[in-house]
Amino acid sequence: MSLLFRADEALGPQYGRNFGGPDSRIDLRLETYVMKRNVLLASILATLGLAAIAGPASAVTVVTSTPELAAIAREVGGTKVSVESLAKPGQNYHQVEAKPTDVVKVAHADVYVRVGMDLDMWADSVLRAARNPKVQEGGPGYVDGGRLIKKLEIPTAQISGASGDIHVYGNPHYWLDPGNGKVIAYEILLGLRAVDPANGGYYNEQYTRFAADVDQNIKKWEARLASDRGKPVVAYHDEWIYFYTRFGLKPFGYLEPKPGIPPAPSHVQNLISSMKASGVKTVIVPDIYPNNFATLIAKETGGEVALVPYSVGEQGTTTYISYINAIVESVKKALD
Amino acid sequence: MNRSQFSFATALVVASLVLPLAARADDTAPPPPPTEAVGSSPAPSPSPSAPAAQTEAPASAGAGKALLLPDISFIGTLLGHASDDRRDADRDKLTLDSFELAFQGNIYPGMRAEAFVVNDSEGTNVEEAYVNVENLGIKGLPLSGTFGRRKVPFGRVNQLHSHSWLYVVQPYALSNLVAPESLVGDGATVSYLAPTKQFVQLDLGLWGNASHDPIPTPDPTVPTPSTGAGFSDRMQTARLWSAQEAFKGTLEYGASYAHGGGQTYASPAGPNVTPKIDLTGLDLTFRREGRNATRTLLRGEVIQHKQKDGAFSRTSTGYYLFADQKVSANREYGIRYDWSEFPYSPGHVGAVSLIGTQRLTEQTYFRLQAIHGDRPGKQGFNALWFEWVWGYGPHTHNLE
Repeated sequence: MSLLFRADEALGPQYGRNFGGPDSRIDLRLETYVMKRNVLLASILATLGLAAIAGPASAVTVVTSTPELAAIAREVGGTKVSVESLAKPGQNYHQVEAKPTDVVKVAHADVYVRVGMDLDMWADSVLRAARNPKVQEGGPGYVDGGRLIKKLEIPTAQISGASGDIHVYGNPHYWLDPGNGKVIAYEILLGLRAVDPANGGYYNEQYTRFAADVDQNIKKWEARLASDRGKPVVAYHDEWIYFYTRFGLKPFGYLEPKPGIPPAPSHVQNLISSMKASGVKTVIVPDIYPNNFATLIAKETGGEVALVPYSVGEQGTTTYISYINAIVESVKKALD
Repeated sequence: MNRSQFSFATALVVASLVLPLAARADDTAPPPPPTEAVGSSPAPSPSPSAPAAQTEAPASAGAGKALLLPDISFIGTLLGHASDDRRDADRDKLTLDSFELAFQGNIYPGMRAEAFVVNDSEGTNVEEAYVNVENLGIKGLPLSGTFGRRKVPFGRVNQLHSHSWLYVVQPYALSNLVAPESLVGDGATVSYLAPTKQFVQLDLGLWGNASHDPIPTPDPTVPTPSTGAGFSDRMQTARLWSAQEAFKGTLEYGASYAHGGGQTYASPAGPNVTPKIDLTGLDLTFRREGRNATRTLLRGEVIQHKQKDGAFSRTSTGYYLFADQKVSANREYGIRYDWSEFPYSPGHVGAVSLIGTQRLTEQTYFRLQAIHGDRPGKQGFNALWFEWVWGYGPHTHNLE
């Protein structure tokens, strides 16, 4: 059966970005099917079949937002936990895309450890989609690593888009102070004890050992940078305030004119001029960022670039302590 | 039972009672928090060279979050459009396409309310307003639900708001066969997340008021011509999707189905008729993330629109293939091929698009889309779209 009708008199709203261009007088006819409904049925069966292959887990499952939190969780959980980070080493933690595969990891987690302070806001959509009450905020396995952190750079004036990527709760890069590594470990300890009380003593021992290890290394790192206290340094992104505070370094400026805003040549030129005037020669750049401007600055000022690992898992680092150690050594080399 | 048997049995009973208790809890208390933690001791003295802006936050620092306020955000979209198709009434114009006001927040533990009010050329309307219940509490099953008006779970991108698209003009297969922007309904969904190691989710929805701006026609004896599926009221939807890690990335695949009544019209052969509409979709996405914020995304969707029981029967299909490369935190490029028929008119459209995006922030960006293709009445058409989206305030959506 065919049917004639005019469509061109009613085409107005079809223009614009949804305009596809149907034409006027037309003849509609029965057309052959291209897809059968059993394609849908087959895909359902295939999907369920693949899903059924999955096996059970044994250890306490810990999922974290970032590799640094994962490294600390491994220290505290030891052999009793399996740990996975949603963000991969070298991935910008501000811009992780939440994926369905992340949802299923969180759905099976006993503990979820996040950075908080609005850094890993993408974790919210994963947590909601996972609908795992154990790791929802308020649940026994929900760990906000920033809860007990003594926060720095909390905005004291009104912020807006003109301020750049400012976090209202303060600078969220707190793990770069190894002292805060212990605070994170303590939060993870509480989370593990809540979901696995039978191994509370084991987790206590693991935490105590890790905290002592960090304390011992802090003394070593502070001694390593003792002669550099008070020295001004430049960094790519405003993420070093906790590191600076720990080791007595002084922030001089950033390649980004505002947090999260890419460097502009005019800003870099001004930075070079002020660095020359003040005798500043050290630039800290995590290895995920482009270092062309930093190299130019070092060349112009006669200084050095400290190309530091952005994540645990980069530049040969495997643990939180080796990660902080690599940063300290790289900064020390550049400062000297 | 002799004495030794009795003692042995008693020992077994005692052991069976005591041993599990011993294993259940380790009575050791946690050690004290480290001195670096809030509340454990005074903050360490900052070095003389430390910046003056440092402040110590109380544990409950919330920057106003302690107030009972939802997240409120605003997103505006400016569109520019040039075309060599003289039939296009919107060509060579720069227009404020829409602005969206969003309210989002928890209303109860495990319940979240979201409302999006949009003003565009058709006036002000509630685009979405629904409550999401994270756990429906039915026999311990991992079931969540949404209740209210929302973009229905059909296809991979129907639930995205236009400011979350990776293009200016959405694929013709979606605008022609599904909805001009998104298929929206008033109703409820139940979502089941399979308790497996692989992501498998089934979304079932029942909807009323599932219309999407039908275009009126002066002739009441013909079906309302419109882009989109043409659902008029009640509609049922189902979507099964899954994802797994593969090829150093993530592979997502899904199948969607929607069924409902179309627009009622007077048949030339007799009384009014209401066609039945079946909409089927298959989608496949591959995503691989790289260093910093780089990402490669490949996506394809096939849609079939089928109508029957009206004055005629017809099956229309369409598909698109899309590749998008995020080369840095701020810049991405895409290329897309579209092919689609129309559910209520003959012919098809086929087009290639090149897309470039420059982001200033996560919510503010500029985008260009250049399109070249064929469509009924205009072979070899060219169009250029410019989009400027700007956002302010905390604004989140579910998975991309």
